[in-house]
Amino acid sequence: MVAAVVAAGAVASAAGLDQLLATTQREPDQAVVERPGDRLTLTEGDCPTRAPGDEPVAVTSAVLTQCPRLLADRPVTYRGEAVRGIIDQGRHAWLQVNDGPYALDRGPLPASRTTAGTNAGVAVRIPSARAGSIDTVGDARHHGAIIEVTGRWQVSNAGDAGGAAIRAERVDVIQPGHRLDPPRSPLRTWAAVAAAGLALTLTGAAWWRRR
Amino acid sequence: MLVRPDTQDVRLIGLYTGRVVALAGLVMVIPAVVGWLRGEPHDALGFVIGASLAVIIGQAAELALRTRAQLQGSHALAVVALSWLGVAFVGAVPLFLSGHYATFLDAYFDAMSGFATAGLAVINDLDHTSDAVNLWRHLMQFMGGQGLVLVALTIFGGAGLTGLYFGEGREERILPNVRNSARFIWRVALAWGVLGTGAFWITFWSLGLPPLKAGLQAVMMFMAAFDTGGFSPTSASLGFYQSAVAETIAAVLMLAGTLSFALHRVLLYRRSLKPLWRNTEVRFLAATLGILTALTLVGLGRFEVYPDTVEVVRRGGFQLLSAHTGTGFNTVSSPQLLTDWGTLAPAALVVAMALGGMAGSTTGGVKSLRVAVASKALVGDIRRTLSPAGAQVRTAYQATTGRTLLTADLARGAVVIIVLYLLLYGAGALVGLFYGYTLQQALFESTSAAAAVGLSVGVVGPDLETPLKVVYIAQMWIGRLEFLAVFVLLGYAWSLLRGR
Repeated sequence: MVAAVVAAGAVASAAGLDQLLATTQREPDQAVVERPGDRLTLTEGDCPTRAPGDEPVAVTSAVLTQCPRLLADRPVTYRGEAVRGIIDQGRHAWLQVNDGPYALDRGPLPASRTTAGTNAGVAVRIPSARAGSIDTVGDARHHGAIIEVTGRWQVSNAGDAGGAAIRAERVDVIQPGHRLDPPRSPLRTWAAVAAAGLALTLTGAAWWRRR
Repeated sequence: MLVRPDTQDVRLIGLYTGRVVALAGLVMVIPAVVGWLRGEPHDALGFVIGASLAVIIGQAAELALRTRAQLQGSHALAVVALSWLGVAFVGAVPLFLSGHYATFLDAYFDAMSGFATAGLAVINDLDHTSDAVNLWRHLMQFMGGQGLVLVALTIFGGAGLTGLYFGEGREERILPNVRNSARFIWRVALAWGVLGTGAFWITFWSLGLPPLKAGLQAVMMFMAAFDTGGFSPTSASLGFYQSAVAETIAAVLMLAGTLSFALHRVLLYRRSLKPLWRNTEVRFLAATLGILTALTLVGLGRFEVYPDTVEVVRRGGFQLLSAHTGTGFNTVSSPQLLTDWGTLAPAALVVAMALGGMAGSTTGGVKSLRVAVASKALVGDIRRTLSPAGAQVRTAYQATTGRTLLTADLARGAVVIIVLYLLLYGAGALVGLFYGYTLQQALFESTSAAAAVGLSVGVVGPDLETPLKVVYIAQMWIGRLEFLAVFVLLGYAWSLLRGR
């Protein structure tokens, strides 16, 4: 018996050793600044020194958050899901717009049930008048509206009390938001009832014993 | 002679650990109810399962391990260390059941990060988490910041629990009676809670968030700020609100959280700020805060990170305060700290994280008191060396409780803990280097975990290597409990393994 346990432990350890010593193979960041004939590739921990010209370029949040100054004051277009809420500051409104897999590819985790890492996104400042076009923001029960904004990337927005953000002049709703189907699991309901029942029984037994 | 644990010792440790674990289960009722009310039955059921499991563990311990033996000092320390592991275990259950974590280890990482008030997170898709799960993440920080055992003291009472109070990194009684000290700490938190939550609520509401959403987020942000936790209901952290007012409220709460509860009492009852300025620890805290803020601003200016001075002061000053108080709120993106902030400013953040706030507060890290004591001891030694033979050189410092003579024992104790923290920071950094991260990345994340801060340069996330997750969990646990309780638990375990 003991030998079997030791043998099993040895096999498990050997099998686990590869995992223990392995470095996670992170996918390198994709090309993040794209336009015809011009493609910049961002490597982790490094910012390219060459910036594109003055025409709007399609960007992802990765280049904007890792290399904020690369595209400072440059026109950009950016697409993503508005999440959590709209911050209204009078003339302008602020949005957090995510472009990670939960926003654009797989959809929110509560619906897709597949994990794909953390959220990725940037702040966007839009004219308050355009905020009304965004019907839904993403949260646990909603997939927020997918919007595409065109504007200039600013490293700081001190005049508006804001941080790094895209100052959008144009906001297009690509896909309206929608409500997510709530996850259901009868097994979970029964497990909760059984666990609560056992907890109450033990609490009663402990109380009776104390008396 | 070392302890030789017998069956009674194991029963006592198990019994009291079970009680503290059961308490976490009772607190889980809050997010369960919020989940039902907010239309999140799936997550609410997860909390029912988690709460039931905690109560089952606690009541099973009551039935199987009940004893008339009294809790001794070493038992209490072992109970504290084991309780934190156990509470993080049951706290991770509803997190894992939410589906936002790929493995139970990931959920355990976030639970330990919550209770240790670290704020590092490996959650997937935070921006689509339910209100119930988000509230639980912040409640864990609130309980951990106040002290898990303190929560138990307040609810269960009992003479035995008094011994547990000192195991959670609390060095002084605020009042002669420990239960009264616990009540005072709760009153302080309640008062700041009303003020902080109210201020956040008005701010978020005025920024256009619906009243209920604004209220929930205000409660969460208060708990994360005052208990220097650093979790946030959005992936953009405090930066989501794009509001200087929200940052100011957070800064006030973070500073309040980094002051010791004993100092709160002195300020409250004397109704004067004089004790604040006379306190040696506060002076050291102010000095390190000032010097490191200056270094951060110079670093940002040197690399021309921001186009205007106001932004340099606002971003740099807030991030430094967030690091020094051990909170970990972000107003700039994590990768930006590494790629765009140069080298001096991140270095200042690492030093600030390592130092931490005041002893007896909700912060982690070395603590200003120990740095002050070690520095004064060094100055005393120099003065002694330079003095004529036979001259009496005495060194003292102004503690919250009054003027205190600096003895060799006090100095040794402070230096030992400082060295242990440095070793803990270094050990985590070495493992990070082993996995191929740069020294800057490895040291930043390791210090953030061990000092329970939560700032990150982007290394910590769901795809972090599994062994590093384990190392950071251990660092958060050991760093939050300030070593002794963990050493005692390991001592008991070692003695049991050796069979005596």
